Amino acid sequence: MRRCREWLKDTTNLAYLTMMLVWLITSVTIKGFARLGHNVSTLQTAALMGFAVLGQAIVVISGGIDMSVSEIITLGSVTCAACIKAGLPLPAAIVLALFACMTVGAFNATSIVFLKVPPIIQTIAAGCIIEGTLLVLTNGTPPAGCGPVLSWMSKGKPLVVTNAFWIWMAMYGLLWWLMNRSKFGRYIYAIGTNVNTARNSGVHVTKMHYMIYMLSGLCAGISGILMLGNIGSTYLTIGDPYQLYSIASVVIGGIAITGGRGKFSGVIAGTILTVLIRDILNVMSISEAYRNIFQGLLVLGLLLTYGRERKAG
Amino acid sequence: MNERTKAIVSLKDRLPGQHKKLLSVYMTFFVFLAAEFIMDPLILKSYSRMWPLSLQFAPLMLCAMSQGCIMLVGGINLALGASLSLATTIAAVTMFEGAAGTAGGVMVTLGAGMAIGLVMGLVVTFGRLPDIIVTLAFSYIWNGTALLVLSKPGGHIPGAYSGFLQSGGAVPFAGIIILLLLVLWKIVKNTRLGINVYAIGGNARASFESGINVHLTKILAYMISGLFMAGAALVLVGQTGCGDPTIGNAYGTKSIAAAILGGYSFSGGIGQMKGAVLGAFIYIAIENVLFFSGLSSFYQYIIQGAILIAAIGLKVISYYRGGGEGA
Repeated sequence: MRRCREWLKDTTNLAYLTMMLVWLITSVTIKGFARLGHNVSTLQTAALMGFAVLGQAIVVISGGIDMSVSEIITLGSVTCAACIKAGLPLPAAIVLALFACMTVGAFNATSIVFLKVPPIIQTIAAGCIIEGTLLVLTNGTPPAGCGPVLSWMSKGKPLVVTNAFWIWMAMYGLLWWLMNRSKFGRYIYAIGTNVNTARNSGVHVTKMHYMIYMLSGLCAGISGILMLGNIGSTYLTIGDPYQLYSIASVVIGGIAITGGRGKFSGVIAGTILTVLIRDILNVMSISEAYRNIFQGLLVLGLLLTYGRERKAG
Repeated sequence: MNERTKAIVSLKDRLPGQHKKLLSVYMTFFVFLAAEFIMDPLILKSYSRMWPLSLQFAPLMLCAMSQGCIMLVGGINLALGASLSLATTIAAVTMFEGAAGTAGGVMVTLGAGMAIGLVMGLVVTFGRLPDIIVTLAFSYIWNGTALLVLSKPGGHIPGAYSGFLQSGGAVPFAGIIILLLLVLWKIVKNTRLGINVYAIGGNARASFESGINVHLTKILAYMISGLFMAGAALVLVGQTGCGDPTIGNAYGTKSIAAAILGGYSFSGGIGQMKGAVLGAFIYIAIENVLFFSGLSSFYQYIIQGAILIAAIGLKVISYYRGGGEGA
């Protein structure tokens, strides 16, 4: 019994348990949720946004926050679409799009490290700049079309679930190894716990910040490109919902928003749970007003249950 | 150092401390004031231009003051835009024709603004959660609530109220509100509450140790912030003639930019209300200059981001160049 309680105290376990319970309950009670096709599409939605969540999780663990995720997603998908339209081969288009996204990450890191702009302000500002730049460059209507190969990469199903899901899993595995088994991960937790202590113990904080934010840019960029493949075209607000979703998924996955605490493995449960909750809200066909309120309350409620700061004073 | 720079330096030394801190803000303000005069020479000729001008500047000034209150206690309010929308919808629903109906609506809106601040303040303090994430979550809640009150722009604002705000009285009313609030803040600042607000922004832990009620002060700061925000909503509804559940979206990031331009520090404890007012003026003046130069309105997003980064970055650079003084 005590071991059981100990197990439940771990927020990551709690997240996975909740995910399983919500999945079971919805499968039984909501018609069509138990079908294989529906589960595959849930996993596909989770995977598409999941890349961005992986990046956001690393930033949050390092004690920052990336509010530019939504715009980087848009940037990735629009750049990729534009390159394909310009006649570049697909690999070149993908590389260029990811390069653009990582540049934004490098820009974020530069301001945060050298200009001492707080991460939240810097990433909001970067988001504004990307949004404006894309509007100016595309004049409001981004190029459409993505070709069959990218489409297959995103939603082709040679192995039961979509390719995007497998790519997500591979990416997760790689990052899990980085976060849990490499020096890189240890350093990120150290920075998130106390950046000064980390610096004084010999962590190259500047270099780490560059890697963290560029990684977040890269992850969000992959999300954007695969979203382009999934729907076959793109638009300038394609990333907008994922600002809150990515942060909510990280919080739901049991990672402390204050940084330095929480297991990286929680992101998978957090992402899938976020998608499940969104689907439930969609199925219940409640109005946008209540959906907004519910999402806000949900994030607050979760924060209050396990994201609290240690008592001050 | 030649005679002239010496004279300027000694002039700077003679300024009272609070003005010295705002020196760069004052200078930027005068530059953009001059720019406004050049772009719109009518301001100097016709007194009646003051009403539309004050209506253009007042909402952001009040929003910057509202954001400033939160930044003073070391937080940031990402829900400002959404709560502004909510307050305009509340105003549009509760105002009725006639003096009593209008006054009632104004009171309800101001009360709602304070209630919005109170709820967020309670969650931040007693939930022991960071301001950023709480206000981000609340921005969705207020957004939804605004849509519940009015699902699309509408409601009713008494014509007499809008008319008075747009052209009534001997002096522009929106400007009067701002002056009144500045005077009010000047009084509050020197009371125990005002000093506590600056203290907990500077160092919450030390303030707690010296017996300041950190929670209560923070909640009150949130409530004052809500009051300013409701003031901005009241000016906005007078301008547009209706409540709009999305009108506030534009003001969220702008209010942060304006407050930072006005000399507020993100880490808390530094900043003055008049700085927020000047910062908002500078921000809108920059937008006006861009509009005047004929750039596409798409550029406003880029400018918004650039201002945010530059305002903080320049301060940090001047901090290093000044050998760690000032800033």
